[in-house]
Amino acid sequence: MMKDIRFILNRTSVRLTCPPERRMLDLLRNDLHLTGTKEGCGEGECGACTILVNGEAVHACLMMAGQADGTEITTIEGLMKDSELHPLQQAFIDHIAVSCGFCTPGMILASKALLDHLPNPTEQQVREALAGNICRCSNYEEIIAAVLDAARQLRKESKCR
Amino acid sequence: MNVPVKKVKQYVGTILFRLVSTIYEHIGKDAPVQNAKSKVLGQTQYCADMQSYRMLYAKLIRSTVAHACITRIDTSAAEAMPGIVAVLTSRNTPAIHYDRGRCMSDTWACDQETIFTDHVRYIGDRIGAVVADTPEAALAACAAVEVEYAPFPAAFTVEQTLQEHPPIHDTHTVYTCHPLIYHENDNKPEGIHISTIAELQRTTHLAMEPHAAKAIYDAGSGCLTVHTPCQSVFGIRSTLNQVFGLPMNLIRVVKTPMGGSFGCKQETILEPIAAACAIAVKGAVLLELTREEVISNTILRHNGTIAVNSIFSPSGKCLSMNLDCTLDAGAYQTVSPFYSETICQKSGKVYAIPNMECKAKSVCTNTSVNGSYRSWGSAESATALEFHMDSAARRLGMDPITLRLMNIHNAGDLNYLTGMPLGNIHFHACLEQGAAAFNWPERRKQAELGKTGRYRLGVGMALGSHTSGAYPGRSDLASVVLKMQEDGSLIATVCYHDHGCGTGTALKKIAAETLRMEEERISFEEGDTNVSLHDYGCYASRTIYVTGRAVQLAALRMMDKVKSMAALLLEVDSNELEYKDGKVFVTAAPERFVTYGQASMYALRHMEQSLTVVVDYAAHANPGVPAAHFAQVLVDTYTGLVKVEKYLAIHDIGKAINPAMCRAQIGGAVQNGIGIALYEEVRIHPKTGRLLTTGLSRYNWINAMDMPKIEVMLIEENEPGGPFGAKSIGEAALVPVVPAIVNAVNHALHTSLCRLPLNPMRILSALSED
Repeated sequence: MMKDIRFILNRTSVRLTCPPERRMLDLLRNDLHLTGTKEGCGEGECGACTILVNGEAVHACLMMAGQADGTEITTIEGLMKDSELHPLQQAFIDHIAVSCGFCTPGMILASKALLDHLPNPTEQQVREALAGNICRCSNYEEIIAAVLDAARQLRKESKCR
Repeated sequence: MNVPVKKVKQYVGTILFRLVSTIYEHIGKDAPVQNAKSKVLGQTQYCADMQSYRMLYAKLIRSTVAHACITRIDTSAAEAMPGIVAVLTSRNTPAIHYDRGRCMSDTWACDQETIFTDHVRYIGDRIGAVVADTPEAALAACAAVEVEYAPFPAAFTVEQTLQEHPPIHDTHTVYTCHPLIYHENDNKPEGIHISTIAELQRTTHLAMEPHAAKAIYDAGSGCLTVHTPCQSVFGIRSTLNQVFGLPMNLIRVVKTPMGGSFGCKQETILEPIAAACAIAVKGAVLLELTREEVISNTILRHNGTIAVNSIFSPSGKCLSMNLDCTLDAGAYQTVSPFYSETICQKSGKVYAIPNMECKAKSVCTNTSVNGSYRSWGSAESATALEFHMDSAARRLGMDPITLRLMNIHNAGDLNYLTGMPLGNIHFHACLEQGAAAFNWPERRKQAELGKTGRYRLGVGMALGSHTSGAYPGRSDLASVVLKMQEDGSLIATVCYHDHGCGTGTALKKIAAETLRMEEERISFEEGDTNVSLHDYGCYASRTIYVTGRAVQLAALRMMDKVKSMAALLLEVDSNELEYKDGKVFVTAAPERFVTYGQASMYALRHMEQSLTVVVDYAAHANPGVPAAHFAQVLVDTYTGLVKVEKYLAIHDIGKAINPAMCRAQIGGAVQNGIGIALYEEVRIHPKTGRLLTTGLSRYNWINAMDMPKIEVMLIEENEPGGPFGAKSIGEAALVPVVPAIVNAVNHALHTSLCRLPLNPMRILSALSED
């Protein structure tokens, strides 16, 4: 059975037909060829497939395509605006928070979900928000520093507006 | 134990002097990994991201029985399903036996694997593969393959194999290593006997990127190309050459960006399968594993036991030590014989013990295959030895650090077991400076006060060491080609395999520092058998010390060539020239200069040559990389949970080329080690052989919430044979972690536990025995 699905993906309208039970992760990677969202475990444990659905961090491996209907979805490909890196992306580079990079898209989006809800988090709150994202290469110090720095940047930017 | 204040001041003075006397532009400066921007954009193409037009997908058909021979296999129903292009089994693929650990064609190995088998040896063993136009179609067809088995007796533990002798292999079901023996003299030492056993568990590397391989067979040219996240493009090629009979010039293996390895991607696992599929369909095939398949069908860290028996003098000198290591190889020996042998060899790197005997064997069982793991035996050896040393210290009533100081090797010593020089090692500095920075005596005293009540504090430490290459075990050759482009930028062809730890950036820094030019104008491409010169692979932490040194030497030769062109252009002698910032200038008249680009163009136009350097460099030394780790833990005696409160890692690194990445590597290793010590275990049912840890929901690790902050100290005493004095860090970082945690927990609880992981069940069980 196929279903008509419409949603906003990275600020662009998408309309497609697919089985509603198709994994959102497979829809993004194999049908829409957006491979920035990764599969690490297939059961919502590692966070590598994190995307934003209506601003919430969601595991694309546990979401069905039918659930995307009527939503606004952001993947890592949608973070950059007008050729400018999002402050989180820049902070991850500047704070040496990227090693193998496989966790990076999910980690950045989980961080964005946090900062969109909580613009001035404590270190403890950052650790809690990232508890579902595995980085096997590091001890998270650089990632946490990057998120806190990006939070500062974003607060400064919002004051300037 | 008091550290003399004068010594600390002396050391600080030395560091300041070094800082002032050697100011580098690139070396020692923090930098992101070379493709960090691509990674934050989500643009980096890992193997499973490499989609191409008309690419097909392969899925594995796997055994549901632990030990059997296949009496009937019917693929007709699968073949008839929509979207199915080919079904492969042992009947239509090469039957050549090969070894996944092989990195050069002439190496001996047990050679027990074939691409697919009719004699299945563990639940999950590879029977075949389905190739289809979608992964879903392939998966559905796998389920439609009919298989009948005639079971053989199976063994799921080492003890079972040794007692019941199941017919797992014709030869080398049990591999017994040659013992390593060293006796300083014929005297039989007498003293206090210490006896310990370290029991190691299976773990999974938990690299975030699941294994994948993409193979393309072009029928027109007869060329096979395999894209794979790997650690030896030439090693894989040698196996593909052996199995498929294609000449090496028609086999191309290209390393893709790697989403972590920690050893799990250093063996030839998926490539022959993907290649067989591609050859069968004469096209492109992607084989991507699920997490369950990664756990079941790639590599796991060895489970086994390491028994250590020693004799100590009452003053704390170790007079003799016997080590007996038994590893579970899993269903196929693969690297296990060498791994267990290596545990023995590495057991002579830290302590100068006048009498040592090390024995090892690796035993097959009908379970998932065990193999390479970060540090290849150094961490396992350290787990056993450091637990043992702490047991000795407790028995002798000595401080653990005092005991270590009485027994450690000095710089210039030999590993008694192998006769090889240990290099410019600084165990003393690691212990003394680390202990001082960690406040060892005060923390120990504090921990010893609170031995009643719910929460118990424990403070422990461990020493370790590792290698900076594989010399003299093999010819440690690294070959580099540097090509200066006509605008003065540089393309470097070096067969390196970055795990995601930024070795590419480090090699760039070495080149940029030597050539005195911008890092952005230097490109390094990773291992590609069509482009790189031969290299046996990324093993033994050789990339900086060996490959980096080759890059440095090649860069120096390139500068000679650039200067000789500049000398012609500027009409002076080469020795009248200096160079900096991509320009060569007359020392006495710096306003007279040429750029590297001008020198390059001049060579092409007027000297009928290109500015190209080819260097073969072989290391003739292999310095050890001592490290000491210190941990303070808080054990909750009600729940058995352990919190790591404080952690310090001190490493004798030679020189940190990119300090930020060195700290990140240490951080990741400490994360992994805490996991191995306290949480991680891949469980296989001892009666049925069934994998119980089928995914991450059944696996435990330490995450961002529970990771302690880590204080990192780097001792940079400049190793003469390394580029800018650098040795290694990537694997050394893991070596002392597990025993540091184990020793801290035992200090907290007055126990002698070393059956890993020390999970809550085991801790509570030990407490209830009190």
